[in-house]
Amino acid sequence: MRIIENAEQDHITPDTEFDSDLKMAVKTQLQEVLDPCSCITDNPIDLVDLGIIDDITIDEQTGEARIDILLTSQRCMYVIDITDEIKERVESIEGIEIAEVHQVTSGKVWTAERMSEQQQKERRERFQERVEAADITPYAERSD
Amino acid sequence: MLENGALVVDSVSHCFNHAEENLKHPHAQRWNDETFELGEQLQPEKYVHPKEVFHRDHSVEELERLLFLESQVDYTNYHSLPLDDYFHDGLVSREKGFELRDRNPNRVSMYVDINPLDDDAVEQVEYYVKEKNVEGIKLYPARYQNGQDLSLQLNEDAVRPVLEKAADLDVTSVGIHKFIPFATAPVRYFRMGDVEDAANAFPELNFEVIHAGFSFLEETVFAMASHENVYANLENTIHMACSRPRKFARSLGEMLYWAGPDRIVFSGGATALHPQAAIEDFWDFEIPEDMRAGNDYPQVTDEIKEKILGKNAFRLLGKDPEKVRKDIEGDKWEQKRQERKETGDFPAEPWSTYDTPA
Repeated sequence: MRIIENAEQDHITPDTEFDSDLKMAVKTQLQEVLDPCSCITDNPIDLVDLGIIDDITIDEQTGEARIDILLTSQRCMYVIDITDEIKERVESIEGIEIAEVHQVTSGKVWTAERMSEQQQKERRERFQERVEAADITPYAERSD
Repeated sequence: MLENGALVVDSVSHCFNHAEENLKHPHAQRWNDETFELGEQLQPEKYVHPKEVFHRDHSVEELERLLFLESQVDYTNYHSLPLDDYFHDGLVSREKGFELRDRNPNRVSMYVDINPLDDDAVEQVEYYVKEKNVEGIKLYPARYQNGQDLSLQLNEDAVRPVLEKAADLDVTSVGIHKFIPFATAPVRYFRMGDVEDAANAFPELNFEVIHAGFSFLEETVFAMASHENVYANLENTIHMACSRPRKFARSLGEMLYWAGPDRIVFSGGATALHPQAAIEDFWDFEIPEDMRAGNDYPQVTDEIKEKILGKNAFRLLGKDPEKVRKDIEGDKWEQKRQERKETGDFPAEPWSTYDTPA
């Protein structure tokens, strides 16, 4: 039986809690932004669930917010659309004057383990259902 | 050739033309730039081209020295590219591939690019298979014409006659670019659904999905597990062994778990990437223990590595490895390699054998 791997959380997840109400409001807005690629599937996923949001920082004096995003691929062509929607939503929050979106280019790499545990579980279940419907036995579990 | 004597087969090499005069469309420069950046992201620094080496029309002589003197590749499969929407010569010309093969008949196979929208696409398949002895055809999932992205999925009417002709002619394989979207083409064109349809419709053809493991991994392993004629071609993906080991471990581990080790082939990605970077890192690669334990991934044994680095590709191409070994024994490349080995200069330093050397 396969289990889903857990990874250390060094990014923003649905479970991340902040002392700052403003940061919580930003996170809530980011959970409304859907990953464009997932929107062509039957299972759209938001940026927080996907593990795209690396960090949120806010200067509450000036109302300046900074959102660091780690794309699933450095070649993602939807970065402009994603950035625009983040800015629009975050800047709609009372107390935020301006939002800046920074792409993480430090060499850190997005992997599927950054997805929320719930999304990983659901995704694996969907895959298993499809495998069972097609009556496929994994190569590693074949006895012949 | 590996230290243990196993032959290395490179399942995709190209001879790119990144020269400014080859740009035909405003997106072409971006394409070149992104290809360069991909190399920067995926390879150890010493293997990244200096920009003046990259942004040129690479020659056949440079490609063969890159493969046979700077890397352990013994046999290569040249893919020409049909990107004449963007580049005057398609970016990777057929002519250079035939020249490479003519110069190295015992070391080179060829997949020729076909644009199914050409009026004579079917006739081209027949010509190149019968008259030019290509082993396979290379397709792209989208074209850009008259300001519009056109879908060219393997299950579409425009493509079917090309596949029918390939099947009639007992073509070994169909290479299809997937997983790395380009220019303005919608992402859905780079998914796997059409490959499954084609694999069902044409069980006599093999479908090599190029860049497998880069994205849409679950769809890929599902297609491989459910169709014996779907192969994963690791062009670019295998360079993640150098730079993104956990991501690569996930991709390789899933493929091995679901489909086994017999339908995965190595590609060096020349001249966009340096083949030796991937060969060395792949040979030393192990899936991290925590990922193996949690996901039932197998050990990547030397036996599995030899299959991926050569044996699987020979089988796909219908080549007997021992015959190839005999045919290349003592040829000029083996002699040059031997000379360099005696001075400790094999594999040669990255890009050092180029006309514009690093």
